[in-house]
Amino acid sequence: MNKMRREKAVLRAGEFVSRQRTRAVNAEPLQPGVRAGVQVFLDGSAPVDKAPACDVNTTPTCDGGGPAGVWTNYSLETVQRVGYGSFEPDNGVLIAKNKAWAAGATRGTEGSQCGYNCFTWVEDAHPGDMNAVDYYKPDGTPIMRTVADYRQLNDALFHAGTNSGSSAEYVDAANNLHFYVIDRYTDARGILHYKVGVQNTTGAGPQTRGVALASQPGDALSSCAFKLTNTGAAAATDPALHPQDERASLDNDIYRLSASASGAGWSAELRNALATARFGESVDVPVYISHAAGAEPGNTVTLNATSVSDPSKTATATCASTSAGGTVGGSVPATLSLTLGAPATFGAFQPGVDKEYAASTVATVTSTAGDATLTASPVSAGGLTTASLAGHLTNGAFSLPEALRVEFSKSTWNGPESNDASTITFRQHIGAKDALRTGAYAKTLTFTLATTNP
Amino acid sequence: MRRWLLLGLLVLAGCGADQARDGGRDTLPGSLPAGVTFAAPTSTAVAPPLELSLLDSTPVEGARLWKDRPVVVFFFASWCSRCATQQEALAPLAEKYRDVVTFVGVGGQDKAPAVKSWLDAHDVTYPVGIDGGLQTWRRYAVRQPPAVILVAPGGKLERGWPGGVSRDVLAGQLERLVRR
Amino acid sequence: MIAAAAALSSCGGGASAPNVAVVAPDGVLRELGEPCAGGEPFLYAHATAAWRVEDAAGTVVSSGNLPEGEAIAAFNHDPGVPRVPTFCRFELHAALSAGAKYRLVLPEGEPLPLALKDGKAMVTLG
Repeated sequence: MNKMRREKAVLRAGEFVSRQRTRAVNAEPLQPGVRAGVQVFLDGSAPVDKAPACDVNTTPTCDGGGPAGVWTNYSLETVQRVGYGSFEPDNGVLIAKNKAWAAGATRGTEGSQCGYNCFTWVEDAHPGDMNAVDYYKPDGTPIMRTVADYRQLNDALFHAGTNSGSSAEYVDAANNLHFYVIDRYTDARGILHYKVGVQNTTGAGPQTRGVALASQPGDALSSCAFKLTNTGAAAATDPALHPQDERASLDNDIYRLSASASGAGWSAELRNALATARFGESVDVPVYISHAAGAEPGNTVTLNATSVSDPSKTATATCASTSAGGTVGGSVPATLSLTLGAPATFGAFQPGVDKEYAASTVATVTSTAGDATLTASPVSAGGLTTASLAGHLTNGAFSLPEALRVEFSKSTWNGPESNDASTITFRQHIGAKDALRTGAYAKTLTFTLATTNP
Repeated sequence: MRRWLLLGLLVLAGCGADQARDGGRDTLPGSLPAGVTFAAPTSTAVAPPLELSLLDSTPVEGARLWKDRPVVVFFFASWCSRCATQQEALAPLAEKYRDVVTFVGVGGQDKAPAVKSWLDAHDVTYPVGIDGGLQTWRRYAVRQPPAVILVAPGGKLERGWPGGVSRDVLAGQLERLVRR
Repeated sequence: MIAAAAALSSCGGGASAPNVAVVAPDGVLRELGEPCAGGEPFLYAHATAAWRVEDAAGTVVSSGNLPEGEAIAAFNHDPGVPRVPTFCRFELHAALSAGAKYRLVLPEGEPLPLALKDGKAMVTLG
C-alpha cells in the first residue's frame, strides 16, 4: 500500500514541481524526502470535477464525467517494470483520475466505491484507435481490437523528452489543470525517477516569473550549450495550503523550449522540450545540431524559452557555428615509388645442357596515382636503351644467344597502392648448342613505374 | 572445343525459367486496365497501416497500393513449408489478376538472402519486403506464417486467413470483387 | 560412387532418433499434425533456427538446426472442428548422457534446463 502525499489546493499557489520514485519499490514507511507520487485533490463546490457530462454507453472515452463520474482527485505515479510492476507493458508516468471512498466505507470493503486502489480512470497518452486486428472468424471475417480492448492502455503512460514514443503533458482544461512530465533519471540502483509538474492554468501564482538564456562557449558544430536561468522570485505562500508543507515545491518554474537552425540543410534538436529551475537557479540546455551533405556553410542556432506560468516571460539566445562544412583532412603529395629487392642471380650456367634457369626478386610499389604500370627495359653501358642489346645477358663482348625473359606477377595497378609487392621472375633458357664464355653474364635492367593519371 | 561451347549455351538457356526474382520496384503493378471496376466491400473493418521496405529498399505504403485496387497480402517466411504450398495457390491468381489485384509478400523472422532464394525457387513475381520488427504482422494478428489477407480497394479489410487460404476460396473472393 | 553410398547409409541410421522435444506453448489454431513454427512470441523457434546444447560447464555438446515442428493438441477436449488450439513441438536429437544437467540455447529467450529421463527430454519454451 503506497503512502501518498496529498497536494491539495496547488490550484491557488501557481505551480508545483516534484520528483517521484518508481511505485513498485516503495514500502512503508518511506524515507524522508522520498515521494511515491503525487495526488492532486480537486476542490471547490460540488461536483468538484468540472469535466462536462458524457455518456458511457455511447462514448468509450467517457469516464462518467462531471456529476456522474464523482471523480475527486488525480494521481501521478512512476511505473517501472520491476517488482510487482514487472507485468506492466511500459515504463513511464501514470496519470489517473480517482474517486474517494464512499462515506463510511473502509478500504477494500466488498462492493464499496473503493477509491484510489480499485476505482481509477487511467488517462491514456494514446487515446486513438489501436488500428489492429484482434482475430479472424473461421470464414475470414476480421474482428478489430475495440477501443475498450485491455491492450488499449499498453501505451497509456506518459514519457519525458522529445521523440519519447509518448506525450510529456496532459491537460484537463475543464479543471484548469496541466500536468508535465519534465524529466526522468535512473538512480545508482537502476530505479526510475521522474520529475513531474502540476500547474493551475488560471494564474501564475503570487511568485514573479522570469527567464534568461545565455549561450555557452563551444565549437557549435555538433551541439550548442545554453544556460537557462530562472530570473523570477519566490513569494510567501501559506504553509497550510496543502496537507503538508509544500512551499519548497512551489519555488520554481517550468519552461517550454524550442530550437531552430537558420542555415539551409541544418537542423537543431532538443532532447527535452521542457525544463525546470528553482528561482535564481541555472540549468544546462544542450541543443544538438546536424547538417546534411551540401548544407550551406553558415548556421545560427536559436533557442527560445518561455515560462508556462507566464507566457509573456520569454528569452532567446543564439549560438553561431564557428566553422561549418569545413573539410578535415591532410593532403597527399604525388608519389611514385619503386623499391627493388636483392639482385637476382641464376647461379652457374651449365654449358651443353638444355635447361631453363629462373631467379626472382621482389619489387615494392607505392603509388598515389590513378593508375601505374611497371615495365623493364635493358640499358646499355652508356645508359641509353639499345634495341640490339635488348634483353640478352652479356659477358664482355659475348652475349647469350637467347633473350632474357622478365615476368611480373603484377605489372598494372588501377588505383593507388601502398607497398604492394610484385614478384619479378627472370627466366633464361640455355640450349644444348649455346656457347658460353667463362665469367659472369649479367644485364642491368631499368624498371620503370609510370602513370598516365597522377 | 566447339562441343563444349554449345553445351555451355544450352545450360544457360535452361536457366532462363528460373530467372532472378527480386520482389523490387519493377514488380509493382502498372496502371489499372481500362474497363475494370470493383464490387463494394462487405466489411467495415479498416485495414491497419502497412509500411514495407521492398527487398531493393523501395518504400511501399499499403494505403497507396489499395487506393484503387484490391490487395492480397501474403505473410510468409522462407523456412516455412506451408508457405511454399500457399505460394503455389497464389501464383496462378497473381498472374490472372496482374495489374488488377496487387499481390504483396511480407516476410517475417527472415533474412534477405534466404528470402531472395525463396523468391527465385518459387517464382514469385510480385513485390516482397521483410517486416523486420514484425509490426505489420502484429497489426494483422499474424502469429505464424502463412497468412493471407484481402484488402478491398479503398482500404477495407475484407478477409483474413491465418494459416493460409485455398486457391478456390481466394479465387471466389476475387471473382466477386473484380468486375471486368 | 563409394562416397555417395556412405552418405546414404548415414542418413538412415538409427543413431539419430530424436530424443529431445521442444514445445512452444503458443495456443495457435492449427490442424493436428500440421507442420508449424512457434507462434508469436515464440516465432524464433522455426525450421532452420540454430540450437545448441551446453553442459554444466558451458561446453557445447550438441548443436543443429531445428526441423519444422508438428502441431500437437493443447487440450484434451476435441471441439469437433478441424482447426483447434495447438502447441508446436519440435523433435531433435542431441548427444546427451543420462544424469547430466544441460541447457538448451535457442536464438532468443532464456537458456532452458534440459536433462534426460528414460532416454528422453522435453523442454517447454517460456
